[in-house]
Amino acid sequence: MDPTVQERSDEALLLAAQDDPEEFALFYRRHVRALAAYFWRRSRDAEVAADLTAETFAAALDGCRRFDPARGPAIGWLYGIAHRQLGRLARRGAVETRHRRRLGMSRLELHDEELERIEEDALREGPHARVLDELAGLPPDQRAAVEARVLHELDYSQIALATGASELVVRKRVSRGLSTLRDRLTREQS
Amino acid sequence: MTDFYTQLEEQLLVAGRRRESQSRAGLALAGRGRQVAGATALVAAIAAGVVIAAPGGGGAPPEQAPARAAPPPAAASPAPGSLRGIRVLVLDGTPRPGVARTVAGDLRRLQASIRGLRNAPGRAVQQTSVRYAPGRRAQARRVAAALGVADVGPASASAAIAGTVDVTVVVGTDVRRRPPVVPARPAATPATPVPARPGGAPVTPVPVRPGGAPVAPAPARPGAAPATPLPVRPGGAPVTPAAPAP
Repeated sequence: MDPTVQERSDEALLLAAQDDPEEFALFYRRHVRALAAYFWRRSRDAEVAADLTAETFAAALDGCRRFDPARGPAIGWLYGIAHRQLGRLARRGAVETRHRRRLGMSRLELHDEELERIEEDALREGPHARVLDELAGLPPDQRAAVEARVLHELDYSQIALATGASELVVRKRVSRGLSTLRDRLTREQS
Repeated sequence: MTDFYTQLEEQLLVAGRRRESQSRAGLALAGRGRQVAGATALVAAIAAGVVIAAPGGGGAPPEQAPARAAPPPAAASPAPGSLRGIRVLVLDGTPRPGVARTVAGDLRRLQASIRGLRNAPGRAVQQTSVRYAPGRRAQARRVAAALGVADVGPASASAAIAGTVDVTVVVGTDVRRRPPVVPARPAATPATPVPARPGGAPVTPVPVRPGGAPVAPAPARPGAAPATPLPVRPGGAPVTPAAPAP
């Protein structure tokens, strides 16, 4: 891949995607497998996972003009949409199709091999993915702080500026978030 | 055989292109509606455009100060070196607080109209760059010359839509290595201070129980999933997690 693409942040890609669908595709490629795996772990059903993944990215494309990096990292925004999709699935018993319909996207009919591949990918994600799952379970302020600090390598001062909290508070959130993650992951292993 | 990921990517690309051509067609009419919600987003979009437009590594090294002098001022122009009438947005791409503010202050003393001072999104920017809206190349060159910046280029299309600034300066970490053109004093407040977004605590998605069953999120308006502004903690009151950490 083009090294300059690798270096670009998710936020930059999403903002550029507001005018250029190719940029959205780059953002998509970065995250689609992890998101499909995330959905598979939640549903244990590759077809549902594929459906949720498609609707989540359709909603993201549909709404990327409203993405505002000042509110938090792009990955949090994407998984925020993902959580809402899971919530709707739980309430209605069916995956939404609204955003795909709005964008004129048909529901993909997948063969068994394609479904198996999603499942295999999800299984391969392993412990790394479990961390992301646990991360999603943290209190929102801690989760956002940990994501910004660890996944996006922002400075405490930058996070403080972006969130409006003091640097001290941001540091506390990160350290509490990380220690909770550590506890949960150790507990799972033992 | 194309797999699921590829098929979905193709669908998204087609949908995105279709939407893009529709929005281009409707741009002239759309006007107001998006402006309200978009003020911050647009600035950010400019920033993104700028950051993206900046050459990854091929650009001139920052030490190679002003490559070209500013073009001779037009007949009616103010005193040489003056940036009067140029609307400048300053984006801070450095982790060091105050650097961009100093740059903004320098530009103000040269009579530029500072239209905002924001953080550039994404990672730390190394090389300071100057980007111009269509037709504002000359102004950009003057700003760049004043700052001793070699990297001057057109801004992205988003900036053109914004139409509220002539020139965007993305301050990078190289800026401190350069001798300031004007004596650096703490900058004055930007001409058009934009109120900081209250709080802005990042996206608060629906918490999911470790067990996997998602906690039902607040019902969203139909047709509003990403439209629903992701809940933001008001006021940004430093919310210290109430419960003592385990």
